[in-house]
Amino acid sequence: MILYWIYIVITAFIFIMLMMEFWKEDDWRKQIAIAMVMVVFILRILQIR
Amino acid sequence: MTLEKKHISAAIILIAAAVISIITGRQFLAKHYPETFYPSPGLTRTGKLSDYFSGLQGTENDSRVYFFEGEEEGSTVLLLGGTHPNEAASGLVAVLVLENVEVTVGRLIVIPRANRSGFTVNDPMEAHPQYYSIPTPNGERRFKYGSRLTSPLDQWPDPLVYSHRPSGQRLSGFETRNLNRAYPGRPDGSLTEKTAYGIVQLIKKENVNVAFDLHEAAPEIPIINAIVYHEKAEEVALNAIFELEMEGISVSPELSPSNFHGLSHREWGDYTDVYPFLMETSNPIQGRLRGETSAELIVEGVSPEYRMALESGALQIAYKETGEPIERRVARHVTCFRRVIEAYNQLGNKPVILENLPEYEDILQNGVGAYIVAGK
Repeated sequence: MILYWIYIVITAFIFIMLMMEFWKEDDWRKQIAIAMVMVVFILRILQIR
Repeated sequence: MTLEKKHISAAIILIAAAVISIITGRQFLAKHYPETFYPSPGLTRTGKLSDYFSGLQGTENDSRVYFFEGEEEGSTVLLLGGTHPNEAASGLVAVLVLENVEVTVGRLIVIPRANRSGFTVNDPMEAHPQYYSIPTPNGERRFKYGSRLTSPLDQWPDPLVYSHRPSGQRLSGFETRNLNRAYPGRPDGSLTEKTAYGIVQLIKKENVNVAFDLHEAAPEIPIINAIVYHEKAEEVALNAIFELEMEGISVSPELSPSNFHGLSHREWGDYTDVYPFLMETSNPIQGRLRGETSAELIVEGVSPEYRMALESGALQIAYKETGEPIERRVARHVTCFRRVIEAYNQLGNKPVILENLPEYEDILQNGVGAYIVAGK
């Protein structure tokens, strides 16, 4: 169970990093690429599986 | 703070990502809703696997157990569907039986979704559909199509090597999530081992005499259109197969290897008094040679690639020119199930009499949909 929560914390951390990069990014094409990755992390953090 | 152009595009893209998350999230969540079954009037009670092992309570694998009890005392039969949720005919036969059967003598216990966790996901990299539909006279009925294994989200991580208990047999790590490599199971093991333990406890506590584990496999797998039996049930199996051959239904008798552990036909027989039988049919969507992978392939079982393989004569495969439709696969399982019980009765055991189940030709002619309730 503790492994599961470590996984969620890591996922949340990566999501925050992605979000920061997303807002800093000037090119909308790269923003789309980041957003596509973020969808997976949103579902994981919300524990929708 | 001024609103830059990049922030406007970011906001639009973020909204789009949120919409995609909602749509996909709803699809993923839908796989967790329990399927509705419509048991026949012969149903006397229902229970759950946690009634036999409390460690399953609150888990995805606390599966529903259906009891059909005759007025006269006799033997008890267990029918397990959905051990591997990607083997459609297995779960479908269990549903067909529980929605039709009338038991006059003895008892029948049906677990239509043995590994419910596996029904919440699909196998990665296989492009399998999430659902398949069976046409019925009153509309289509949709069934979940799942993964061979327990969901990694319910049991994680896999070890590099799976060591089966108590035999010590070593298998690939992912097999730790395979219910049919987990028997007899452990009360303090993984979710899959706990599920196996619960099923073995049910067999013991309900004094089950004959137990069936239904499966399907790829056309190129050697053990196909077969009944696998424990050595103590050999006489019953061979008598049933003789009857089936007389009817023109070819079935291979396969003796359970004594040194291959974790499988129902081995461990149920070794750890309980039950006569175990595992039955296999040919399902092209599980095969490596298949082409387009779709819900139609599950139901119609027609694969041009397997037809080419058949015509080449280079491979030994269980595939007919007309395909391997769900009707034939379900008909085989239902008929094998019936003939094994009849053979068991004929050999002087306390009988089990099941009525109102369709014959082989009935299912071929009328389709599976004629024997299941349309979805609501």
